[in-house]
Amino acid sequence: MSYKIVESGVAETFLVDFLSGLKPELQFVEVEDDGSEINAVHAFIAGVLAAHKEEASRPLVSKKRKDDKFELVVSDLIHELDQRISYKAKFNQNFWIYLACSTVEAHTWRYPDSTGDNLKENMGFRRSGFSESLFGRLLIRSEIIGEGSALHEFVGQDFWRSHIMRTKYGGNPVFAIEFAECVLKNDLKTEDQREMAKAFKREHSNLFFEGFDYESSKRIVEYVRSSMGV
Amino acid sequence: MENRLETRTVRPFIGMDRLESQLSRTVLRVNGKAVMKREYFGEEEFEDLKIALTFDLDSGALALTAEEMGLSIGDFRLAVVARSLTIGNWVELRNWQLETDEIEDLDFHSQDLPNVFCDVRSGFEIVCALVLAKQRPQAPLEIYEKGTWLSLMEWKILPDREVSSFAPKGMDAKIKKDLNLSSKAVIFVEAKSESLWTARTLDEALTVWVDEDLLNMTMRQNSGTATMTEIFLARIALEALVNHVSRSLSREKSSMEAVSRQIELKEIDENVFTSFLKKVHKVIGTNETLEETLQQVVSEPAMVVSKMESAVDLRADLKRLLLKEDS
Repeated sequence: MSYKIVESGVAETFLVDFLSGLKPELQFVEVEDDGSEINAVHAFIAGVLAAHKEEASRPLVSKKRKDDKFELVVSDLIHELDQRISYKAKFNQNFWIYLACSTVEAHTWRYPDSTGDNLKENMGFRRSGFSESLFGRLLIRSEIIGEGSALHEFVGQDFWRSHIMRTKYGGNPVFAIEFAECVLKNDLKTEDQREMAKAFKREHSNLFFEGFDYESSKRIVEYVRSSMGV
Repeated sequence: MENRLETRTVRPFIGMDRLESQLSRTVLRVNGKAVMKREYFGEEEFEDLKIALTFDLDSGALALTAEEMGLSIGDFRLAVVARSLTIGNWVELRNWQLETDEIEDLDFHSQDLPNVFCDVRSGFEIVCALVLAKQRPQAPLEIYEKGTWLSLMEWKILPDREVSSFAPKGMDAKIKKDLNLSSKAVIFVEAKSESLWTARTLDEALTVWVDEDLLNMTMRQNSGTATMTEIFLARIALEALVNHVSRSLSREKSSMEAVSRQIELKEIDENVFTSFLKKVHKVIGTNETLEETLQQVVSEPAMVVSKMESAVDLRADLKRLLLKEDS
């Protein structure tokens, strides 16, 4: 078995050609790897493109949407893929660039107002971290949320990126889910989410969020929310 | 006088100072090497890391302090967690109840938990913490919240992407032909397809090719000419790198203020490029902010090269690298 990779420089050229209306051939390199199922990778690509077609009339207009079916479908696909690729592929940045290039249509639909720069960021070959790319963000979110949760429909890019993925306390899935559910249940505004995140950061000076169980997570989320009166 | 802001952790609990040192004798060794706060390993080593954690809790002192604080040893847990820095989710390795469980030293191989320990992209982090295991009635200056940490140790194991792994490479006749160069070409700077923002090593983004015979000569000889040639080559490599970095930065759509903020807030993954920029900032030393350094790299690359070369022993660094590659 093997998986495919694309270097960022090759990907940039590919994207420029694609955006200029050409139909460029993707130049990839194949890496030997016993642990990754190539069929799973192809199924993922096909799935993302199919989701793109189904949802083509609904481009992402708000980063706060709570009913985003595209993210729901792709999160499920990425969760499935995650089970069937090796850690070698998972930690190879150029594997994710290959996936992004293979689904370039879905990316251009998803970010229709983008100049090339924003698109590159979401395809994972700009300077930003893995969690800033579409697939990176969904993979990390899928590892937090697990399978079959309504939370997959909660796009909340600001929420996941700023208050979960970039924080140390947000690395505890039990706590992250509690926080996300609190935001949804109480329909918290962006400002309130930010204030809660600041409070958690302060509490993290004393509390070991990393090891929190369900009970502790629920207690701290409720305590912070109620003390803010939201 | 200018105001300065400083962040401090406030832990206003009586007896906390005596508890905080409880884990200070905990030692993490990776492949036999004791880790202070962070340690770098070659990417190829991540597949085969031996990770050993040894504890040396002073249970007598702990019990005594606990008693003075109105606690018992049963009120404490010792948790050990780890996470891949790419994915970020904490995984519990151990969670001992101090009264009933026996604390034992831990030994892992990176393949035991490859989704964490084999994160060659960003590395991994291990944290162990002594925490309050039970909720207590709230009282002034006393710890009461379940999950309050009393003593904490954290380490990061990171992939080695040191800037110094950058060295000129020898080009023979075939390489010259592949690069469309004349057979008499002496030096050529090749910008690769990999962007500096995503390159894992500088070699992925840039290669300084030097005629193989000339490179060998500098290696084998110990003459004044060879020494001069070494300095000359190191200077060219550094200049090529700084110019490449300068061009990459000047192509940025975002302002240097935004880029420097992203680097400082770690919104950009730590990589060879950000490491290099931080190193430049440190070496130049006269700029107050990283943004000023980035501006200088864009506007005065020649000045930056000059300051860099006077601050580091280029020749020694180059010789060491070439000998390492040769062996």
